[in-house]
Amino acid sequence: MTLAAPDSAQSLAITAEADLIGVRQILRAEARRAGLGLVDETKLVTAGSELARNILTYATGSCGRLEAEQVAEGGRRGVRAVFSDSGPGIEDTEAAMTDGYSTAGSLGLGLPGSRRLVDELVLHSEVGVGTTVTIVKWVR
Amino acid sequence: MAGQDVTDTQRLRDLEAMLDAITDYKVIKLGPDGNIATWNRGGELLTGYSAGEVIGQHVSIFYTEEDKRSGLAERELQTAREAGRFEFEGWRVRKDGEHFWASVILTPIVDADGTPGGYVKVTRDLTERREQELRLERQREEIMELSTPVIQVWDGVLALPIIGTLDSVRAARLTEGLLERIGDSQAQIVILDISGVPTIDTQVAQHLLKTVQAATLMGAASILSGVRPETAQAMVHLGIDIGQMKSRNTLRDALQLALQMIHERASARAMAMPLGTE
Amino acid sequence: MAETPIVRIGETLIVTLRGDLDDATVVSIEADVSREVERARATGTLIDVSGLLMVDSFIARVLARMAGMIRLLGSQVAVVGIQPAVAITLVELGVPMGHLDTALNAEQGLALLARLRADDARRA
Repeated sequence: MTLAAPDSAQSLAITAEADLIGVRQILRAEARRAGLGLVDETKLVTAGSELARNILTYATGSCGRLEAEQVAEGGRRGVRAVFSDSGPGIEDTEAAMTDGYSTAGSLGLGLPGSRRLVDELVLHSEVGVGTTVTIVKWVR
Repeated sequence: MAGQDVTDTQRLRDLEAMLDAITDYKVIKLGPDGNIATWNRGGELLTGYSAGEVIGQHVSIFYTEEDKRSGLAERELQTAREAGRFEFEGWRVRKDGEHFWASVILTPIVDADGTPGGYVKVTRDLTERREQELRLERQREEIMELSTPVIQVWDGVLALPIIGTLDSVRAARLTEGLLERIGDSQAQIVILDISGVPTIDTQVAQHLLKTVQAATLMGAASILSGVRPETAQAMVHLGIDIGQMKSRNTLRDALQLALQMIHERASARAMAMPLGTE
Repeated sequence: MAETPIVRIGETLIVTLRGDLDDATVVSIEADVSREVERARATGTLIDVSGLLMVDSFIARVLARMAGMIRLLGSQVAVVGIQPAVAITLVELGVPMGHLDTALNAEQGLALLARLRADDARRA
């Protein structure tokens, strides 16, 4: 009943800017494995790049990590990517998910934008503990 | 007592014969833990496994790799337990690895004293029906595509007459198709004709504006055409602002404007030639 | 770090961006470009991004900043070669692209630069 699952989950530590290349490569590979078209692949990779940059900018040195894997539900396939860190956390997650939220003059976390690029985006954050953003992109 | 046993055994054999006569359906009993307790001829025909190969195995043996990993079988059993019955469709795998689309009814069995006694699972192969559904859906999509053709009306000018409602799925396909055509035909001007769109609401307007923005990033200017008086009223009431985009009442007027713009661009280029370029 | 590919055609420059742009690379590209714009006394510059398969908000800001820098140095500027998938993604992402002039490719970009120069002269 329990099988040795083929190594399908891809994992990467996000600690430096150079890791962004790895993030994009992993997400591209997963997108192609799932059969996402070019537009959806681009959206997924871009959302991933945004989220990874957030970790580098706001949670430097805080165990930033990407876990990406194939998902299947009902009859459809897709890619799930989890971006996690043990950084300062987001105080007002609701505001962070609203367009216009920005800190310190930058464009902020760009979460609403990333949300629009994927099918599902779930944000969990606790101040002083860390943040997890899970995104899912399904094959149309 | 002996007579009673014979009758019971006979009845059991009759039931088994009945189950084996059902060849279109896999009808099996699962234990409370999801392990396969009984098998029938239909199950063998459907999945390729013989009784000896599956009895005692967990029902997830028929599931795809991803479904096995995500624990789909356990979730389905739980839902059946909670709801009293569970009907669903999904991909399953035969012994030879071939995938088939299954229709499944899962019913929990409760013993006389109320303890959960396992499940009855009835499975049917609906692959053919699903393929037919997918074929129909593709046909519908093709028809939708045909109703939104991108037409090259002049050198460098594309027209996109949008007919019918515009949901996000259709809008996405429309935008992608248009942008591909802009690239292929090196178009500089796109005319979006909305005379065939029944109602412009905020969502439709957003789809249109996003399409225009994307076309602009690819260097193409957009002209809106076919705005009816009711549409203009609705748009203004909704606060929809088309910004710099030009608008013309008819496709013909929009085309005239497009040609004018093409002409102006060509002259500007000709005039500027001596200045900066080779 | 390889030098930024910058092609000069008379008073026009074509800067090709490609690969993975990180903070350090961006700084060096900006230095190369500003130096070349000045050296060539360029009146028009095209930033070719047809090789970029992805433009996120960071890269979009880089483009806007680079265009601003080029304009300050007296040259018209246009971004060319934004791919369809990138265009759709940028719009969905909602990054304000500022008032970036864009064209489909280098050929249309050159024509656009000519128009921008003409408009500029007319307005002066």
